[in-house]
Amino acid sequence: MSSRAWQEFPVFIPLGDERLCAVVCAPAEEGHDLGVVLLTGGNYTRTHRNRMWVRTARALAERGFPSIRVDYHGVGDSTGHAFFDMEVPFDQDALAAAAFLKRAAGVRRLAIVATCFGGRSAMAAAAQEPDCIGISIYPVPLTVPKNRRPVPLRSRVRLWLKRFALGTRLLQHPRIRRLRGTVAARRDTPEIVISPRFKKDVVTVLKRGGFVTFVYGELTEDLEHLRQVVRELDPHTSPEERRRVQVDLAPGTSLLRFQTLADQDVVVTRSVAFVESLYARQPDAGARAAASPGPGG
Amino acid sequence: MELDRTLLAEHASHTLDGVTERALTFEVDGESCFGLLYTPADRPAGDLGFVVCHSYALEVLNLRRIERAVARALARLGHPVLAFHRRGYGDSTGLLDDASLEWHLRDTRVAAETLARETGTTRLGYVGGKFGGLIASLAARDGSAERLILMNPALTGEGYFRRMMKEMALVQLSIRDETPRKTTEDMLAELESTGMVDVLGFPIHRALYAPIKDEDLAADMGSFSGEALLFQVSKRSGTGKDTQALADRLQADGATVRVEALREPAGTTFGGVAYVSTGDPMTREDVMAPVLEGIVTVTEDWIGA
Repeated sequence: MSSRAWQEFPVFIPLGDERLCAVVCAPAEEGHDLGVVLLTGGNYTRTHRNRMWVRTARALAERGFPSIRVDYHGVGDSTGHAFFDMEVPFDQDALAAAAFLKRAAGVRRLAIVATCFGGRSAMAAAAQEPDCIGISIYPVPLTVPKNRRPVPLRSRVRLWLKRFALGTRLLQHPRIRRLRGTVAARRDTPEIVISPRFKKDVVTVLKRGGFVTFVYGELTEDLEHLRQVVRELDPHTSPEERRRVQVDLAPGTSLLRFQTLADQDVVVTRSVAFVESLYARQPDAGARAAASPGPGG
Repeated sequence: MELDRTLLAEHASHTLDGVTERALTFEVDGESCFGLLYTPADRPAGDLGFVVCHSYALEVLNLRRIERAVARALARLGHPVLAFHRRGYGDSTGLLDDASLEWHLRDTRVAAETLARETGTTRLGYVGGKFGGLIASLAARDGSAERLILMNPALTGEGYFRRMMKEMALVQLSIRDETPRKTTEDMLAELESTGMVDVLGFPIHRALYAPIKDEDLAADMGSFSGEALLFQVSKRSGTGKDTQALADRLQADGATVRVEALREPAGTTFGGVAYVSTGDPMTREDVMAPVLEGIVTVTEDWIGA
């Protein structure tokens, strides 16, 4: 017999004609009435970089929280084909995983924790899932070009050249790189805006009483855009709603692609802390959980 | 909170296009290995089965789509396949801190036993890409396997991990945070002195590096003398010297070798990120799809022959 505090169940979840491969991780003993959906960025499979979500799932289960980690359709062990567009989140994948977790683990409430592109999918799903009480996302692309234009000719030529070893070497030649840099500097930077869809989804989650935590690094390049998102919530939300938005900054790092073991520890630790504090806010939370501070507290 | 075990059991497998995929776990020395078993759904399973050996670090994730496609192609043609996570990787349990080369090979052998027990196969083949190709080949040295499917296999342990460290040095150039910049030699020294080095968020442990660094497939393929399918995916045309060296070694040892060169797509490398922007910065598409199709087509032809 295993003495682990958790148990895992790999499953294939129906999503239309597709099957999403996922792993449900549940406490070995009695658990809390809060399940967690763990979402990755588009390129990662359900375990995330260096098994970040495996560690998170098992740590959550040790504290009584069941979770599900899932491969998007067309990724990892799921069926189908994926095409990623930042403005077309995989919310249906997240919702299918959430619905399955509720049935499998018997939980009524959900939290979503996500990184990168998964943050877009998570926010879109949270806006549609009435049982989602909180969402925590790590650096996520927040902006879109104001006017999306067709792929320019120069990009198509560059990609064609990169199909060949000689073309790739040519593009990497210092003189060519300098020339391209000079030309690029003269070009107008396309005007960008905060994704209207993302902003709308955040507002929906807040209006429904949900908590939203952004975990960024102090050095995350996109931090100013995150601050802009928070500012742009003002006209659409009440002070009480805005108090449920927290920006949590990890010191001395950008959290870029979680490319250090230390960054990964930040993600695991803060994800578990987020879920614990979210649960502690619930009126029926147990005495142990109630002792923890709530999000924003 | 109450688990619905019936629901979970009902969803542990599915059948698609003539292949049944079933999740399972098996024990190795008290730890649990996660596996996916691919079996033919509409024909009897043959006696030749395959075990898929995954690669290392981000390649475990990036090559999964290709490994899965090969597994499904083999199963569709009647050959059961077990793809699994070694201890300390993916959805398995265990930690890599003490994972020696022998640990990796033991997991691979137990996976082969599990495949035989679950499906009744009596003959064995291994599949692996990059570091997974090295593990597959080292496992095949004992003569237990009669087939090998290798995709850009790492020929030496040292070469593989040095390339990983070199890549980190390049990536560091684009990072603005306070992470200290390290050369390959710095990283090797750290590995030697502390027993572990963090390379782009993946630990390399001395327990594995020390025994595997001197392994060289071009010099020693042990008792393997079966049939090998060797893929070279690169931007160059013609057979590269590593591919040729391995093919020569296999042939010298009495193996039959088929070498297939496939064109690597723009914007990535085999084992690198498959979903890349092809112009519109807002989108990512699977540029590795033609490589995947090429590998599947050749594998089907090879196994059929």
